[in-house]
Amino acid sequence: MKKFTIVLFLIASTVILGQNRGMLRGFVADSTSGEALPYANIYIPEIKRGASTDHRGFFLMASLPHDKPLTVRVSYIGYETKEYFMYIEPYIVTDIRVLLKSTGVQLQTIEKIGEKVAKENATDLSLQKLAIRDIENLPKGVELDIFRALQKLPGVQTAGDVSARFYVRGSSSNQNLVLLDNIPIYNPFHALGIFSAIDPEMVSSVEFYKGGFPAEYSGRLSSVLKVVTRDGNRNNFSGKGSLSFLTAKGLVEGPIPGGSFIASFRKNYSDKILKKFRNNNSIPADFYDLFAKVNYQDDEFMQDAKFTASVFHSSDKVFNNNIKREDFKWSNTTLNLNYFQISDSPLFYQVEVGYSNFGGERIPNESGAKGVVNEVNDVVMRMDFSYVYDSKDELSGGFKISEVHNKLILENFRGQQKDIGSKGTNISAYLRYKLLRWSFLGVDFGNRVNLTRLAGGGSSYFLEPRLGMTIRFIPEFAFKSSWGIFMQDLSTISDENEVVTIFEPWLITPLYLQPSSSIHYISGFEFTPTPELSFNVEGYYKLLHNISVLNERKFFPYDNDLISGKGEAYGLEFLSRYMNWPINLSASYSLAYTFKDVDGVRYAPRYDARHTVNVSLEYDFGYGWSASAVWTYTSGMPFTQMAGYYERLTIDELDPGQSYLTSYNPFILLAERNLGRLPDYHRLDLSLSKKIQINNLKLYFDVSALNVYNRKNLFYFRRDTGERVDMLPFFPTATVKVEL
Amino acid sequence: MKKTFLAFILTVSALAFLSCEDQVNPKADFEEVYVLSCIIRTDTTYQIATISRSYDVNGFDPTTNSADPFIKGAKIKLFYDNKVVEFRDTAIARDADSRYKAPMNIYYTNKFISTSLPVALRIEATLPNGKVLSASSELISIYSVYINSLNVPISSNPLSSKLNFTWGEWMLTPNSKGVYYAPELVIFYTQDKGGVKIKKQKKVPVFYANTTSGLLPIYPQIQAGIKSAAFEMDAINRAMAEISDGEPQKSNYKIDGVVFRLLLMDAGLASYYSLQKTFLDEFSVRVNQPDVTNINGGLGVFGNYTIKQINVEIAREYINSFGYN
Repeated sequence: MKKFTIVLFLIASTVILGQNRGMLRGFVADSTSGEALPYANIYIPEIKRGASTDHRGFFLMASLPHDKPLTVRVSYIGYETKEYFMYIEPYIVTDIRVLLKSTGVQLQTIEKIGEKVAKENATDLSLQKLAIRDIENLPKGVELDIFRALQKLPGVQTAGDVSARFYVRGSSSNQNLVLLDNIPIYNPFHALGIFSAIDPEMVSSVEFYKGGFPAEYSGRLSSVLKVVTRDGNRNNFSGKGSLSFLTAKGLVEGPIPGGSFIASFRKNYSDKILKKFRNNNSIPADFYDLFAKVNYQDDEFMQDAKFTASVFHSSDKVFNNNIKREDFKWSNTTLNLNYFQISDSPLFYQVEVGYSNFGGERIPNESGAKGVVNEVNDVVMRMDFSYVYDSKDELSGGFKISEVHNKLILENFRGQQKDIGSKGTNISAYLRYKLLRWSFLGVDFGNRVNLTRLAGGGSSYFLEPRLGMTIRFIPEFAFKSSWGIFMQDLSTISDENEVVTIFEPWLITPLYLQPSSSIHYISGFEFTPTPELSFNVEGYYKLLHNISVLNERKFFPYDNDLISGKGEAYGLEFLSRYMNWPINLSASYSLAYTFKDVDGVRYAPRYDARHTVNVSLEYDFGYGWSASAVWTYTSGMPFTQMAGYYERLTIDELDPGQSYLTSYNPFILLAERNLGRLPDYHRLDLSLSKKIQINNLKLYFDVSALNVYNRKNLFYFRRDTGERVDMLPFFPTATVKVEL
Repeated sequence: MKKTFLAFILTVSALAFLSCEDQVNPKADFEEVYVLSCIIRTDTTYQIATISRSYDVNGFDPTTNSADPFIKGAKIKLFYDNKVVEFRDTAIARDADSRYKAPMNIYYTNKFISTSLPVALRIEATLPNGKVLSASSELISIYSVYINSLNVPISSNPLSSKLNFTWGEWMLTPNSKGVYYAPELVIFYTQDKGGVKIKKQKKVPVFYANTTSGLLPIYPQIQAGIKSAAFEMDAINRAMAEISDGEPQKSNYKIDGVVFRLLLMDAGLASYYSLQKTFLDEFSVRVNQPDVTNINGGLGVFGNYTIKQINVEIAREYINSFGYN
């Protein structure tokens, strides 16, 4: 592995000498608000080269000819395309600032050419980039939800209607890294996990890696969901308010000297709607979330630099007002300070200090349930840089120090409490090199070195090499592949036998277990016969080692709470898209196999769905009217069947006077674990939206019907009664949003 | 294009309507499993064992089963210390409210003689159909247990804030890893209820924990390798007071004595004993129940235990201070 890193340095040093052509660096933003436009397309027809803006709205094109005028065409969904005729200065970076005007017109063919060219050698296997506009077009349901939108992607699985938790390619939900502006959120869910805690109104873009993610991300075994928040309107003050059956929310934004601010707040006002998700059982949930961000970008004071500070807080309470029942509360808080600098050379770097807190508590009262107190305090300091060579190759790197204090107080059946949490520091550094000099080939290789373990700190050397590759044989066809080793030293202790869990307590992997690790092997191809039509096929094989599993055979205080297990997942995913205004159609199918191996028993976990189909159609009728339909099909999930009953000797007390002859009680005899399959799940959601604009006032109306044909999707059986508990029935809902 | 959209909706809906509610059976094919239960108490020659078979019912209420699952005709042998003890089968009357009306089939022996030697213990049951259930353990191999009680007698002016007990074993081998200890402090008392004297006992926690829902009694845990137990005087005081909680006439209570009891058991029994009902909250839904067995070829439990106890002196003035006799 050391050799791997040395080779990476050598390649970087050989190309650093070759800066002899021009570079174009740009920033693309909305002309009205000044807000950055992520994933906008840049295309230069004279040389048939393209680029995309990153999540900050920046792009950089290297190795451009400086001896002839170039047309720089900038386009973005729903915005007027702009063209600039310019000469590129040799040897230096030419800067351009592009302000696009919103039109509401959808992406046209010419713009997709730019997008296609920009991606020609992009090493983006298993990466899904979503601008918030993409998510807004899906049926909103009760609340527009980013996590639920992800569940429509092939390879992403859900445990059912009642949970926004997602499972990616056979990994459990705690193996997904959720980053809000680069800071991890540990439990980003509201109301028993039914909704995500991230309000889409504050989101600018979403990047979602289903696997094989690059070396700049670490700490999880499966996937990365990177949510980037908006900066706020730099030019005008504006506000939004919206109302659904569940929540009321508001957002204000506007300019400040040298920058902008944005603040949003969301609060539920009724829990009646939640009953639909739990078979008409009451959920006395009370939750809110708030987000605020300021950014400062004054060239007179800090040239080509940007400073942002943001805070996010979500809070949930489930209080029963009954001493005989338990109460719950949990919250997430993140703080983030980010300094981003563009240098005169093609170098970007950022310094970031962040804090993430998760606190959760189960208060047993006099219910007989056991109390749980969980807390994670994570202070993160990181520095990242990115440098683009004239050859178009890119070098990036950075280091991260994460200090985590974890408390997990559990109560055993005798009422004794014990804190099994710990604290420690993870220090890691990474280097990543993207070989992009040839248009037909892209290679992305990197390595992250972890110097310490979280549990108790100390030295523990763990390498996480990553490799990604794209070979474009012809413009319409590319072969892609990636491989990587991933490490996770902090996970939840979720009880796999629980189909509904309020919150999953986090725990630093104790020293008696090795950190969890996984290996991803992913390959696939992309076929785009026309600019409107694309096909993607991906196959994956994933091995999981040392995954922390709750010890179901913990009988004594000194038995370990966690044991180590193994996992294996493989599958094939198909995704096809047809985007030609006014139609946007996508269809996906995934074939997946997932196994866990714990205590010598190999079984399929609860989220092992063999076949999943998602079909989504959006139609823009014009005049502000649009409609969408999403149909989801998942083959039956595993569950453990009953094989009968037996009389079990019950020992309440080992008392000398007790006769065990009368102490037999019926006990359920379980069949082999998760060998049964629930019936197939399918559901159709429809949505109709209308947008009305009167001067600066925008009104959005959305009417949705969930599960329109009232499919009775089985959630679980109650073993004691055989009662069937179904998921969400037919459910009409509506939202209204006012924007000023 | 509008037609396309409509066609899409209609097609998908039509497909979906083909199967609006699938039936699925939460039960797999019935699995015949045999259950052997035998807990050897090493301080007596009389031992019992039972064998039952699994069963199924229509529906989900196992108490509707009326076919007696306890079987007779099996051959049960206990192997230890180069001896073989055979169990005999018999049937005993059940309680009147039992759902099984026929006498209960059990197996017993009164020929078990414990040994102070550390010996392997093995049970083997051959069922009438030839199936064999077996389990192994180690006989609690302690020659003798001595228990010291410190800071006695229990009085209003104790020498220490804790009542401590220590114990040790004389063993022929130094290996006691397989021995699990469950210490208990028990107050025996008699309640006079309208002239009827009722014998009762009260277990004393080691301490009371302050929790959000009030004081919670914390009892000693089953553990291997422990050699002492300490009970807070405050816990003893509270336990004494709780005996007559809500009862104004304290003189109706008579303290008969206090006993420190040490249960010693093997690992198999300790695991089984420790497995208690899992308490869940209102919202979490757990679909599998925890179970544990050490029986090869089936389910159930095989283990052995012994009890050592000493009387603990309690001062008269202390008893009287609660108004008890």
